[in-house]
Amino acid sequence: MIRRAVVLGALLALGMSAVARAQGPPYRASPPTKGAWYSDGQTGRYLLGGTWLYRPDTSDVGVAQAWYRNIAPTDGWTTTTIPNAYNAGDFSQASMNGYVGWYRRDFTVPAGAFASYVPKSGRQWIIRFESVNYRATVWLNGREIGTHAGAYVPWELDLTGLRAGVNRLIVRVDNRRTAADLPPGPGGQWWNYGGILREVYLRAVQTADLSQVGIQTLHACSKCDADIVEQVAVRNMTGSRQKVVLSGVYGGKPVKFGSTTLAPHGTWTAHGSVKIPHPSLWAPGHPKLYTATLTLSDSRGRRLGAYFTHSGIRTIKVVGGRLELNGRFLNLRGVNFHEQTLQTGAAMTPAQDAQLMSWVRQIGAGVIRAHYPVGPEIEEMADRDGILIWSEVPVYQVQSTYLGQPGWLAQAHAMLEDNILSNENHPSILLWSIGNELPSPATAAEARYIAGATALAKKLDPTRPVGMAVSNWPGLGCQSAWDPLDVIGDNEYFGWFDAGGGGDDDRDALSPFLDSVRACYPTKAIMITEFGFDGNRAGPVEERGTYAFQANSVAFHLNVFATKPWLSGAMYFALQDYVAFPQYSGGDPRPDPPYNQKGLVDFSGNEKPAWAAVSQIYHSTQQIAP
Amino acid sequence: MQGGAPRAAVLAVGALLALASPALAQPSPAPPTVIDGPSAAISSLGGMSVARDGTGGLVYLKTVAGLPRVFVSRLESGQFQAPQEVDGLLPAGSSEPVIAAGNGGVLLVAFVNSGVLYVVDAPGLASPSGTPDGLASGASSPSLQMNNFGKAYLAFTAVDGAGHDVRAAYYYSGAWAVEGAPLNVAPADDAGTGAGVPQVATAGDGVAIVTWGEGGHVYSRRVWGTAPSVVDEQADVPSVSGCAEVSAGEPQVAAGGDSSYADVAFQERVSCSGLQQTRVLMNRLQGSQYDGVVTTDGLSTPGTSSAEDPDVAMTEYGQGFVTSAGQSSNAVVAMELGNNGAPGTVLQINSLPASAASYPVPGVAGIFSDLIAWQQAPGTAGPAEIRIRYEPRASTLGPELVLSNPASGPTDAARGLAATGDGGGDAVVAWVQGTGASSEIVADQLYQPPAAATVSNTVAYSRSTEPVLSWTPSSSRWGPFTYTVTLDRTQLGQTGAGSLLVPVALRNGSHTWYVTTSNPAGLTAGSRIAKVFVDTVPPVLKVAESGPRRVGSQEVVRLSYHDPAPASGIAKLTIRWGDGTLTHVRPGIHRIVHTYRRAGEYKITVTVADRAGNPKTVIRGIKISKSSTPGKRG
Repeated sequence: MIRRAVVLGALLALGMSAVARAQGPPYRASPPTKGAWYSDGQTGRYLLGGTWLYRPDTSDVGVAQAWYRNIAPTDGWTTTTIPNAYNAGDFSQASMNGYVGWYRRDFTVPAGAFASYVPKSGRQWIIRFESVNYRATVWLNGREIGTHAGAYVPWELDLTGLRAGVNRLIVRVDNRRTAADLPPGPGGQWWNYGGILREVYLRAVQTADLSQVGIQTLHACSKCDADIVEQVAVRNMTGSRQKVVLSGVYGGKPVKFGSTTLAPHGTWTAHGSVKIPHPSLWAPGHPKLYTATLTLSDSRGRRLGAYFTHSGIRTIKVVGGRLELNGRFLNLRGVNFHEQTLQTGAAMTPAQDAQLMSWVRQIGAGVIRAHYPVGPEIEEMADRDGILIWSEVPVYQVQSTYLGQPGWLAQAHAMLEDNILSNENHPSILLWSIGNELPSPATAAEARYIAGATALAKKLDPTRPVGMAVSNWPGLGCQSAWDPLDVIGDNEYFGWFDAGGGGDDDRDALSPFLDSVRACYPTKAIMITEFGFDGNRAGPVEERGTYAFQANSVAFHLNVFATKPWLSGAMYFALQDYVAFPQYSGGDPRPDPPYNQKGLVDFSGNEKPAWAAVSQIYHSTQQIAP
Repeated sequence: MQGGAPRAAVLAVGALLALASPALAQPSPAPPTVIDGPSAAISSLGGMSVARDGTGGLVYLKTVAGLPRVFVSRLESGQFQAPQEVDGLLPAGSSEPVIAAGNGGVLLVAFVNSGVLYVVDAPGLASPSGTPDGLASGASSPSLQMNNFGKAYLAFTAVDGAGHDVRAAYYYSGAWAVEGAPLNVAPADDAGTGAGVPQVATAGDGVAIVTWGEGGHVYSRRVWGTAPSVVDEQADVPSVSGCAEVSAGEPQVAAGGDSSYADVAFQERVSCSGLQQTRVLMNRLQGSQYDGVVTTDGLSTPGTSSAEDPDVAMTEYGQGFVTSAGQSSNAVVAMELGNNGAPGTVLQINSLPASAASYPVPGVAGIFSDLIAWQQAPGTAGPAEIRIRYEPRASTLGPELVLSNPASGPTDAARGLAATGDGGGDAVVAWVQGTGASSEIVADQLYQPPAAATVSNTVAYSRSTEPVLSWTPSSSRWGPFTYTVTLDRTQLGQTGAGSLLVPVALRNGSHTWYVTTSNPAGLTAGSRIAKVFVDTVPPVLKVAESGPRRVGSQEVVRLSYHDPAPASGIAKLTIRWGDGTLTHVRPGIHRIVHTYRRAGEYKITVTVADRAGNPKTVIRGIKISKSSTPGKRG
C-alpha cells in the first residue's frame, strides 16, 4: 500500500496581503489531463501537468508569511512545469545544501471523471506525487492536507476540500537533508536537486479505490505451470458501508476474488489466484508480458474502477552461489546511472528517460542500477526491453551512529517497504537492495539493520533475493554481518579509488581479491555493483582521467570479470556523466567539479572511447545461460 | 563509492578507522646495531628499503681483495641478518648499488660492474639471493623502487653513441623487462648524466614516474609496465622570483599510491644581475601537467644564500617532505606535503647550528607517517651524529632524537644515510659511522609500541597444578618479542614463544594472568586479563540401575554426580552400555533409559568429567535375558 502522508488538517485564515507587490505572471486555472506517463496503475488517472507556479524561499520565510494562502495573485511566483528541479543549473554550495521552494497549481476538477451512477458523496480524488525531494507539505485551498519526507518513491494524499471552480494546490518543498535522512545530507554524492522531481497525478475514485495491487508469479520449473497469486487492497473512500465485487483477468484467464461489504473507510485485502499452463517466461531477450486487469464493481455490477498492469512470469533465486533466472544462470553486464540531465537536473521527462534507456539497450546492458528506486517509466521500459533492475533504496553511506537508532530504522524500513510495494509487479526487478556502502567493517548496529531489512524484504516479497552493495577491499576479511543477504554487490575501484590503505591501488590485485571474496561467501551470489573510471580528456593511456585510461581500464576489469565463472554480474559506474557535488574530484587528477565524468557518454550524449570497449564486451558476453 | 577530493578523503569511513587505530605514536629507538665493521674495508652505504610487512634490507659497498663488492643485509622478523656478498662471481669491482624491498621478503638489488647494470633478485624470505643478471651495458646511475604489490622500476643511464640516454626497466612476477625506448626528451641529448642522473618513484598503482636532467633542465615521464608514456613533462621553470634560470638538476621524485600525483624536487640555479643562487624547488605533477614550482628551502630570491641536496618522500596518500640543506648554513629545511603531495608549510628541522653538511633525507614509515634524518655536525663540540624527527601524521612533527652512539666516532653521512620504515609506523635509519679502520655500517630501528599478545577471553581449565598458559603472539612486524607472564600479580617468567609452563604448583581454584609483550626498544603492551582454573579433584559419581533386564525392555540408569569444590563444573557425561551403544548425557540429566536388543551380559560404563578433564568412571554389570525371567544385576 502506498504510504499515505499525514494529514494535519488545520484550517488557516485567509487574507490578502496589504502590501502592494509587483505583479506576477498571468495565470489561469486549468484542469489536469486524462491519462498518465506510464501505463500500469489505476484507471481514472489525470496528469497534473500544464503550467505550474514556482517561488523560491531561500530564507525559509514562506510559512511565516503564509505563502500557502488561497489567494489568486501571482506576485513572487514564476511559471514552471512539472517535473521540476528548482535548483537545476545552480551548482553553488548553497544549491547543494538545499533550500525551500514552493509550487502552486491552480486547477479545476475535470468534467466527466465519474460515472453518473456514482453519488456525489462517493466521488473522491486522490493526489499522487511520484517523487518529491525531500520534504513536502501540501495545502489545498489554503488548508494543509498532508506532509511527506523522502524522494524516489510515490506517495498519495486524499484530496479533500475540493471545490467547484478554481482549486489551488500549494506544495512547499524543502531539500535540506540531514545526516539522518535517506540519502544522508547535507549535500550528498550526487546533486541534491530539490523539487517535484517526478510527475503528479490526480485520481478519480468512485467510492472505492484499488489502492494496492501485488502480483506474484510462481513456477517451480521452466516447463511447469505458473501459479499467479494476486493480493489487492480495496479501500472504501466513503463513510458508508458498501458491497463491492472484485474480478480479474490474467493472461486472458479469469481470477476470482469474490465480494465483500466494506466498512466505512475500511480496507478489504482480497486474494485471488490462477494457474497459467505452459507459461511463456519473461527473460532478457524474451520479455514476454502478460496483461493483468482488475475490475471493481458495485453490488449491481456497475464498474467502480479498474487496475491495469503488465506482468512477467519468471523465477529469480540464488542457486549454488549464483543468480538464476528461470533456472538459467545469470552473468549480467550492466550500467549504473543517475536520473538527471545537465539542463533539467533530476526532473526527467519520458523522452529523457527513453534516451537513457536507449543507451542502456545500445551498449548491451542486461541490468541497471541507481542509488535509489528508478522512475516508473524506466521500470516499464525495462519490463518491455527485458532489462533487469537492481532496485536499491537510498540507504547510502549512512553513518554508524544512525544505523541503530529506532527512528532512523523506522524510516529506512518504510522506504524499503514503499519501494517493494510500489514496484513489485515489474518483472524487471531483479532483487531488492537494502543499501549501499554502509561502514566497513560492519558494526553491530549495521548487522542488525541488514538482518532486519532483509527479513522485511523477504516478508513483503518472498519471490526475490535481497542484496546490498558493499565497500570491500583486500584485508577486510569475511563479514558475518552480511550473512543474511542473498546477493553481495561488491563496489570495486581497483586502480582508481583507494580503499584499505592502498590495498586496491594496483588493478592486478583485483583478480585474487575477487577470489578471496568468493571464498568468503561461497553460497551467496556475487555481483560487481560498481566499477568505474573518469574520462574527461585526451591524453596518455597511463594517466588517470584520460579517455585512453578509461577505455583501457574498463576492458581490463571486464576481462578479469570474465575469468570468474561464478560471478552473477557486473555493472559499470556510470552510464553518463552526471553532476556530483561542488568539490567533486572523483579520483581524477584533472577533475572538473561538480561533474562526475565516469560516464561512457558525456553530458551531450557523445560516446567516449570507453563506450566501444564496453559495448563490444557486453554484446559478446552471454549474460544468461542457454 | 563516488569519491571526492583530496584522495585520502575517499577512504571509506570504516577503512579510515581501521587504519587509524591504534593511533601511531612517536617511535622509540633501540640501541643502534652494527651491521658490518669496524673495518677499513667499509666503503659506502648504497641504500636501504623496507616493505610494508617489515621485511627489507640494506646494501653497501665493502672492499674485498682490493675490489669493491656489494653486500646485502636482510631485515627479517625485525632483525638485520648477517651480510651476504651478492656480486662475488663478477671479476671486477662494483659500484652504485641500490636496493628495493617488497612484501614477503622480496629483495631486488642493482649495481654496476664493468659498465654493465646487474640485478640480483631474492623473490622471498625462503629464497636466497640469485646470481647477478646483466640488464644493460654501458649503464650507470641506477635508481630502483618497488611498490606494495611487488612491482619495481629501475631507471638508469645508458651510453648511446656519443651521449647517454635515460632508460628504465620493469620488474614483475620475477621477471625484468627493459623499456623499448629511451625516456629522454631528445634522442640526441646527453641525458641523465652529471646533475641529471635519473630517479624513479613506483606508485602503488604500478605506474612509475622517472625524472632526470637533460640539457640543463629537469624532465619527467611516466612508465606503465614496459610502455613509456607518449608524453614528457618539464619540471623546471624559466625564472624564479624574476631571476632567470641558469640550469636545473639533481632531481628527486616521490609518489604514493596514486601515480597521478608525483612530486619532483630539484635544484634550480638562477641569476639576477649577475648574482647567482641555487634554490631547491618542487613541482607537483598532476596528471601530465605540473602545477607550477614552489620553493621549499625557506630562502628568498634574489639572495645570497643557496640550498642543495633536494630529496622527497611521500606516503600512500601523498603526505611527506621535501628536504634540502642550506649550502652554507647547513640548515635542514623541509616542506611538509599534504594530501596528494600538495605543497605545505616550510619548516627548519634542525635546532642546532651545524658546522658541516647535513645530508638530510626524508623517509616513509607507515601509511601516514614519515621522518627526516640528517647528520648534525657540531664542530669542536663533539663528533657528528645522526638525528631524526618523526611525524606520525601530518603536522605532528616530533622532537629531535639522536640515534648514533658517540662512542663509535663521528658519523659519515657523506658515505651514506638512509631512512625508511614499514607499514606499521616503525622506522629504521642506516648510516656509515667512523673513519678508516673504525668504519661501520650502522642501523638503528625505531619501534612503535608492540601489539599486545592475544589471550582467550574464556576461562581455561587445567587438571594439572602446573598448567601451560598460551597466547597468540604479537602481530607487530618487528621483534623479537619477549613475553612476560604475570599470574596472580606475580611475575612467573619470560619467553619468546607463545606459551609458558607454570613453574610452580598452583592451588586448586581460579587464577588470573596476563602476558606483557616487550619489543627491543623496551616498549610494552599488556594483554587482557585471562583466567585459568585449576581443578585436580575428580567429580563424585554414583550409579544405580533398575529394570526388568529383558530384551526389548527399558533399563533405567539413575545417576548421582557432582563436582566437589573448588568445582570447575561437570562438563561431560557418557554411558557406554556395553552393546556398542554410547549415550552422551547432558549435564543435569540424572535418569537415562536404554533398551538392549540381544540377550547377554553387558558392562555399563558411566564416565563423568569436569571442565578440567578430571574423569570419574563407574562400571556396572548387567545380564539381559531373553525370557520373562529377570536378568541378574552385577
